[in-house]
Amino acid sequence: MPEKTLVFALAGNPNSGKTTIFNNLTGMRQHVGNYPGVTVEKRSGVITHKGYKIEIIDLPGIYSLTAFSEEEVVARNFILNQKPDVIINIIDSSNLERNLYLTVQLLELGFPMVLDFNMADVAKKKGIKIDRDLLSRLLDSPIIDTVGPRDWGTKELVDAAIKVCHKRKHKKIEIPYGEEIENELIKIMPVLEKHAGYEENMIARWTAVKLLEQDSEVIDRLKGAAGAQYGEVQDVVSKSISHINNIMRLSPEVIIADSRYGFIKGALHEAHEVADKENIDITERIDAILTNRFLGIPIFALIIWMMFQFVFTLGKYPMQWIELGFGRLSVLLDGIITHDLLRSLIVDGIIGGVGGVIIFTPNIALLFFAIALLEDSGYMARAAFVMDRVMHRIGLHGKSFIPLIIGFGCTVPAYMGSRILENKKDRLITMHINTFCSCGARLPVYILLAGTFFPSIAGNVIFSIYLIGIIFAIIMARVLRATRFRGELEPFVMELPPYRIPTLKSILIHTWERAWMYIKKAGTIILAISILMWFMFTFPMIGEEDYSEDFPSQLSSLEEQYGSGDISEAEYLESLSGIEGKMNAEKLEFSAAGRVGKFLEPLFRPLGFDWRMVVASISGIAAKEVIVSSFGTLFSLGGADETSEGLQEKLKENYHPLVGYTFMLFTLLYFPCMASMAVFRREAGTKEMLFQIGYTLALAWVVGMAVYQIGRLFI
Amino acid sequence: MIMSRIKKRLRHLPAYGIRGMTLYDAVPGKKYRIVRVEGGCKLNCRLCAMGLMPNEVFSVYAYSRGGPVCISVKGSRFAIGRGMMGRVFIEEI
Repeated sequence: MPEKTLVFALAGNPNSGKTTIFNNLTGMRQHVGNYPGVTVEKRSGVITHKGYKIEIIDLPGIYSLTAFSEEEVVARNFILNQKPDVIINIIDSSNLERNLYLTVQLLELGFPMVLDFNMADVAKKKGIKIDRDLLSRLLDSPIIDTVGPRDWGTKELVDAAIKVCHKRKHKKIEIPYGEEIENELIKIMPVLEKHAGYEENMIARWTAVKLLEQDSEVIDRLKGAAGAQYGEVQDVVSKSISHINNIMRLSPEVIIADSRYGFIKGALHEAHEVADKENIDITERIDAILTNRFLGIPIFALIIWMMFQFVFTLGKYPMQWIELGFGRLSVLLDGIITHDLLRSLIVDGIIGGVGGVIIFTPNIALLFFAIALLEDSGYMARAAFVMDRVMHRIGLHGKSFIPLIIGFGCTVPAYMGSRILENKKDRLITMHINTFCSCGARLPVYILLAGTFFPSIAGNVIFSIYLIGIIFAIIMARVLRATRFRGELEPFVMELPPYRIPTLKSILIHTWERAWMYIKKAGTIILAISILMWFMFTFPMIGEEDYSEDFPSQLSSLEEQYGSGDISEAEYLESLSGIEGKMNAEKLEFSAAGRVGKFLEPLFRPLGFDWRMVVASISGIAAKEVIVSSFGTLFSLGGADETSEGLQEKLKENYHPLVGYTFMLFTLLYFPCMASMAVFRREAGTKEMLFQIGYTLALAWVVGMAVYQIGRLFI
Repeated sequence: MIMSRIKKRLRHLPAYGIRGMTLYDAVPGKKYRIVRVEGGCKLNCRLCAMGLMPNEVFSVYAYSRGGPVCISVKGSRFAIGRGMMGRVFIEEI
């Protein structure tokens, strides 16, 4: 057995099928985390293969090792600092030239590499013939063919990588950059090596090339390490750059890129043959319809509509089963547990709270299934293309559309997804309006309230809420662009990946991950909050002397009257529930939650909210779906009616439909939840997070008040 | 306000003949060659990595009025937004 774990890093272009290969390699043994300090998702998995323990790291999908995006910096720093034993470079073999551009840059770093020629079947169909032996010799790395969706070649890939590990000597490949650049490199390298900021893990030639490309991250790192001494290097570099500009009439980065492509073309010229088949790309044929200037948007709208139909109609059935299961469980536990308080804690607090949240798991899972389907098939990029013009009107571009649409599922991944926007202003605006794309956790609140107050038109009412959210997103995007984030849009360049039939495996893994995250949240945060809420609703307990009327003696006199036959059974039950109702209300008002709600009630009276709604809204800060369970606790605590008339009837008794609608709007507009705010802070800083919290609360209050006050005139 | 609107309109007009042909002037079905990109270092690096290099031949295969274009280059497809289009100088072949 080897003594240490081998580390393999997967690197490759976006859309090269890297995730599928990663899934094939690790199966379900995946761990999703974050790279330290940044917000790029880090996927890793540990496998054992032929007695070796291997950790596989999935680096973010990148086009090159420049510092254009956070992903590129992360991937490059991971390789330079962590020094993986082998880099497995995933290459779309049907598009060699472009994919090898990254390969060449990885080769320059001088790490042992295995080239995974993925999508070998597609390349074959396209009539591409590759002389693997020759190309492998030219690039000094073994080449393995794989077909990701069919799981072909995965074992061979690991075998080859292990073999490369044991090879002692690696030839470092140096790309010739042409006389002019090479001359400048020779000038820069000695200055660099003497430089104080120079570290062991920096490869002199590579760093010099990066300086010529004016790589901001490398420059910052050198500057940070050496301070004023950096001036010396800077002088040499800027002299070189202007010299190249003068004699070549092209900027150094273009010449460098050109040389890399030249090297690739040279290698491919000998080892690569494309049959002269004049076949129109199937992708372009599909695109002719899907991105058509007239059909594009209607098709897009249809697909989104279908997605929502799929999520909500199909989700209904498993929801009913889960509800039934929890119902049975409460009845069962009700019979078993004899201690009053403990029973109330478990049945009302925990099952009521957690069960109310778990119920929505099918919806969340189906939504992420749909999003993964759109993403893996390649349609998501088209949606961004089609929507670009529309998004432009509100001062954003098509790419913003992707996080916004994910926001309808969950705001947390949406905030993370905003990273695809390279410009900070674009990203911040997208994040600030993302909360108005009503997330899945808010849906339970709408379902409960719309179902209660507008049972016959619930669907339309919920749709109106979503629509209002979108309208506010548009308004706020324009407002923010005109005020806090003035400036031009970042140029929009995005690859449109070829259409592919997504593999069920990768979609299921993705769906499972998200659903599991949701269940975990229900099992941890929401469990804790449910218990906390129960305590807040139960304690301090009201004493007999604290009631406003003498309910206990009223009860006993009622018992007497019934016992002596003065009143009928119906009369007795009616007065009994009347008295118990009053008692419960006072019990709740006496509790800690009631006091907080009462304290804040005047602030929310213009919106028509009573203290219970205030309490529910506060609990919604923890997570919006908690609002539902809070309502449950608020109306069922005290054990007044073990028969439980149902939350909906209770709500109907207490509130006017207008208040219900106002509450839905309020829920829509104020910031999503604690977890999302934590992500927001990580992505954009404390100041922006506080701005988000402040302005959404203010907006929610103003809109709620306006709707309630205007609505009141008509009822 | 009005001036900025006029400027905006002007920017969208074909620049042909003034500074050379740009992506604005490209129409679907024809083949073009990229002459140069006026993007700045960072953007140049990114475009080069995506294969959008000077001397590269491409064709436009989808567009929307007032919106981005889709071009096909080196076997990949890219959507390029309005803001970018005026910076990519091309010639017809």
